[in-house]
Amino acid sequence: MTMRLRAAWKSIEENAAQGFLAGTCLMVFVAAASRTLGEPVTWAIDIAQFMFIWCCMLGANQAMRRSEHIVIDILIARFPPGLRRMLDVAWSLLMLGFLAIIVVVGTQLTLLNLERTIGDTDISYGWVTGAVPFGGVLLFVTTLVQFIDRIRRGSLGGFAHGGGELV
Amino acid sequence: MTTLIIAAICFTLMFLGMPVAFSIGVASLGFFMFSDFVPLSISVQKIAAATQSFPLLAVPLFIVAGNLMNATGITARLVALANALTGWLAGGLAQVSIVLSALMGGVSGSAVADAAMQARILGPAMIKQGYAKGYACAVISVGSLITATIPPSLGLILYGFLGNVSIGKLFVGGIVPGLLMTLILMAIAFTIAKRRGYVAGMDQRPTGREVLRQLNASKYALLFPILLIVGIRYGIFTPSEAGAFAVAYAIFIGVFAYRELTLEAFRKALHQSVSDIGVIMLIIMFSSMIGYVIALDQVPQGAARFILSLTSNRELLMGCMVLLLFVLGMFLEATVVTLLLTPILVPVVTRLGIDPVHFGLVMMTTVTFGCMTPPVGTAMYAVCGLLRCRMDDYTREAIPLFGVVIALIILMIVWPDLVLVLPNLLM
Repeated sequence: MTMRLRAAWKSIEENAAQGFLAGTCLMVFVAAASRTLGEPVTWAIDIAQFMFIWCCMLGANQAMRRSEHIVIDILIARFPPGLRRMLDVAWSLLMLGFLAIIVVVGTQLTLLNLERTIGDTDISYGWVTGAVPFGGVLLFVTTLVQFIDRIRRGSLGGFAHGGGELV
Repeated sequence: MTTLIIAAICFTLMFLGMPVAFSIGVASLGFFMFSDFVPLSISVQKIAAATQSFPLLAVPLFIVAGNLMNATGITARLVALANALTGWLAGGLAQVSIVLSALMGGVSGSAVADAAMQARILGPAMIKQGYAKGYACAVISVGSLITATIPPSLGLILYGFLGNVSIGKLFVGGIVPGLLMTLILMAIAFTIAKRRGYVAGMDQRPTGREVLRQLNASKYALLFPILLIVGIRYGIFTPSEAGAFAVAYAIFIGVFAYRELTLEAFRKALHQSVSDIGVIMLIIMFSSMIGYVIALDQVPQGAARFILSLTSNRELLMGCMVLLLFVLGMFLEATVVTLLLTPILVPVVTRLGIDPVHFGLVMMTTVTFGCMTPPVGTAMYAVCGLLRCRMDDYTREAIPLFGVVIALIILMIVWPDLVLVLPNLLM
């Protein structure tokens, strides 16, 4: 049951991220084309930026799920297993604490930002700021689930590195 | 002082295995928590604000364009063209790989993506033809540096955005170094092939008509970088808008010209792009918290003063900075070095009277070159992983190629016109 729920959620999240990304591309294109034609659609850029922050947060979580965030493992690869386990526990807890603070502070900030609107639109700026605590919750859950999985499988200290490098 | 403490914490976490984005995030948030005069809410404000910039949208758009181009059928046509152009030379497949990197450079901005693609497409064929495995890997990996130099280039987009330098000028500045790199790598591949008796991939030279046919089949890919530069030069689009144009262009080619882009491939490209964007943006978002502190502490001013107190010889200064970048590039991911150091180094070099476009090309070539050098290099990992090559075999075979790249970087430092002649002429 939980596995199916997890899979369903993952699919919703990934589809949403792709939607936001496609939307960002489309809106920038609309902004550019309308500017060239002499009738600039000013809200298109605002919508593009709004969709982009959601794409970033969901993308950060997707990369986390696939262990693609960059980890420098040149030193720790040479550490004894016990030390690696200790570091794994320490860093996981530190990351969870960090994300918890981001979620709390982000929620407060979002509530403060509800009145402010995005650029030329009537949309609340809270929809932009809100992406940070929302993504924070997702990252918190993913970090926690992966941490518990590593404890269960006895693979603590196995810093995963999928290597998502672009340049 | 504050900056030093944050940097120390950040690097400690980073080198002890915490994901880079989080090392930066934890260290910077620590500053906000213990600071008496900056409210904590500013931290999240900064994270959100980091994404709300129109110039920054060039990054995701070119990532999407790059991933899409591969799904349009452009790659297969460029392989055929590279084959027709150079497959008949001595060391044919090595030449094909180098020329393919240059051709791909015009549609893609990522060295690692190019290296991984070539390791799949050309790698097995090279080994089958009797190339030493380490040499095949070295040619593919080092050759991909060309892809990142010829416009468009993701590294230069990041540098331009973070350092507030004209992305159009950086693009144009990459043309001459990119072409020169192609020629010198081809020359060394030719020499090595002659010495080792690596034969040409094909028995005879293709006819002029055949070459023309392949040029025609690849015309959309060859036209793209030209349209891009002309568009940016004449203000038809800004770099971000150019990114949207690149995406639209890729869709147009895939759907109407080559008719190979399926909905599934399109979604797969988007899916991969989402991950790529997540990785890079999380670092940009979390490090925007630290940007505030860096400005407060006047780090670039301090660094410039310190560097100027050592010597005022520009070439020497640039040489020292490049040496530092080269060493960092050996151990750190190129993305990380670029994101962390560009905002600090660009104000420094500007104060020293160095042209930021010139420095940008030198810096990004050096940093991206770090993807190819051991012990840590993502292009090297990708190629050696796919072709199951040992790292010491790779390193031994790559040394002559490393040598010519380093020589080119030194040439770029002492002869700024090599980089700046086209931007000054055209822009």
